[in-house]
Amino acid sequence: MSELLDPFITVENVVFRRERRLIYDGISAHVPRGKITAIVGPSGAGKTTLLRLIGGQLIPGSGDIKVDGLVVNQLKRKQLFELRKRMGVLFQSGALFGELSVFDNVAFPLRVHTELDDDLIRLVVLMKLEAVGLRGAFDLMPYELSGGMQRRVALARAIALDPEMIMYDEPFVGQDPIGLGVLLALVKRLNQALDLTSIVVSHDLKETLSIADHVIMMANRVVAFEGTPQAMRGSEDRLVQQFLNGSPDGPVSFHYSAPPLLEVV
Amino acid sequence: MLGYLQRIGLAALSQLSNLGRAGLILAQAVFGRSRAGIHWHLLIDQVYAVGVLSLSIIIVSGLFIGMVLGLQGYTILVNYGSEQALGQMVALSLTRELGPVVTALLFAGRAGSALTAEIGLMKVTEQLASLEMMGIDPLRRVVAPRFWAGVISLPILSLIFVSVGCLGGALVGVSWLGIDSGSFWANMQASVSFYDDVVNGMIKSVIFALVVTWIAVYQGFDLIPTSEGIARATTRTVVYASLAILGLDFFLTAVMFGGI
Repeated sequence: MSELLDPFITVENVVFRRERRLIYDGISAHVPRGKITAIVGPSGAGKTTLLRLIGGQLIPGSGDIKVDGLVVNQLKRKQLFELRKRMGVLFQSGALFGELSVFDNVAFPLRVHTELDDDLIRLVVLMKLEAVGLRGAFDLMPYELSGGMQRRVALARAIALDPEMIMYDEPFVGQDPIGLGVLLALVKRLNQALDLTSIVVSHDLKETLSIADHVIMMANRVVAFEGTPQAMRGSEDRLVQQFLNGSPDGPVSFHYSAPPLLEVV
Repeated sequence: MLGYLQRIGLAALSQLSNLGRAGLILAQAVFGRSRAGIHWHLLIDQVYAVGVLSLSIIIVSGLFIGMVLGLQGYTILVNYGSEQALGQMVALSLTRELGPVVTALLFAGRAGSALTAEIGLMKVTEQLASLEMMGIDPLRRVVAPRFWAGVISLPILSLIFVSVGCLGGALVGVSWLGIDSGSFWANMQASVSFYDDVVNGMIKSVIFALVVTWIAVYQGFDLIPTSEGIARATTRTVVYASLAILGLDFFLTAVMFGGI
């Protein structure tokens, strides 16, 4: 319960539209400090959109998003960029800079944001690469790495500045069982070792729930469920059950919203 | 009729909105504050990418256009017994018009499209978003160095184009068609005014550089992040930049040489 009194992120009555399409119809949720929060839900439910709203890359139509007490959608550009130095993001694609080596990718935020000398930067970079198990790959180029390795390098870069929170956008997509296991263990270990607040957006429900302390389920433009993974598994809500069991029929429609077929033919 | 007017209104509003966004992007990239000030190393890298790597196409094109001018000019001037004025004709055509315009068109095709594609690909692969989330402004880090590199490089390329073009004209006129070398160069020197011709040509070139590079970086930064989006934006860069160059050239020529 204490985590509810001290959330790191609070989403309050957020309404968000993409052009005419309503994505969130007044959602509220919280991300507890120092825990792993999983954001799950069907495709198109707006999970990644929520990450972008938290990072201030999108602005809600109404409502507020608070990160450590700061209202993200009211921050000035400079304040927002300062706040982002306290966040790390692992993008789905890794988003490594293709013209820089693994070492230079991880060193990049350190060179831009700190005054550390080259020796210290080298030490920090090698430590971060050691944490993700890729110290030996420091001189390789991104195109020489597998998809999973690229994500681990991106993770090393995301933690280079020792952020307070880290957001993972679909970190397990396209991973073989070994790569998936490595990333799962890494997310859990980093969260504990660095005392991070972690948010994991994922479709891999079983794996994500295995490491999560808190779950936010998005569906049909609202927060369909929020609570612990145990509470989610025990929920009798039809929508939650449909999602957990992967049923094609239920509250989440298979068909995208459209008028009846007979009316249009 | 009402629907037609609505469509025109919507299209106009959309274009105005694009222009506003392009202006904001340019203003933030050029005038926004950066903790590290000007990123000189990034600027030098980009001057190399957009300027130095465009040298070969500029030199080859300049040489051939100068040669064609020499040949065409000779066939006309010889009818009036004025072939000695070939140097004057080649130099004035190049400094006032062909130098700035053709260089800018080649620059739009070679460097402008590359700038759009590069920035666009960075957007598609989430590198721009990743910079933002690292607390680094992509407008200052990615767009600004490319913009200034274009503004610096194009006028210099234009000067090189004009110089090589004059040599091409001399190659055909003097070495091949036998015009007296002294007449060719003396006529050129006597008739080309530094302020009226060379400086005005350079002013044109600087304005073309601002417009072409602005269009290129904006199209890259604002594209729809798909492979088709990159293709469309790259095409738009070349088309819009070419039309802007030709339209502006008429306007600038009218102001500089037309007495408006």
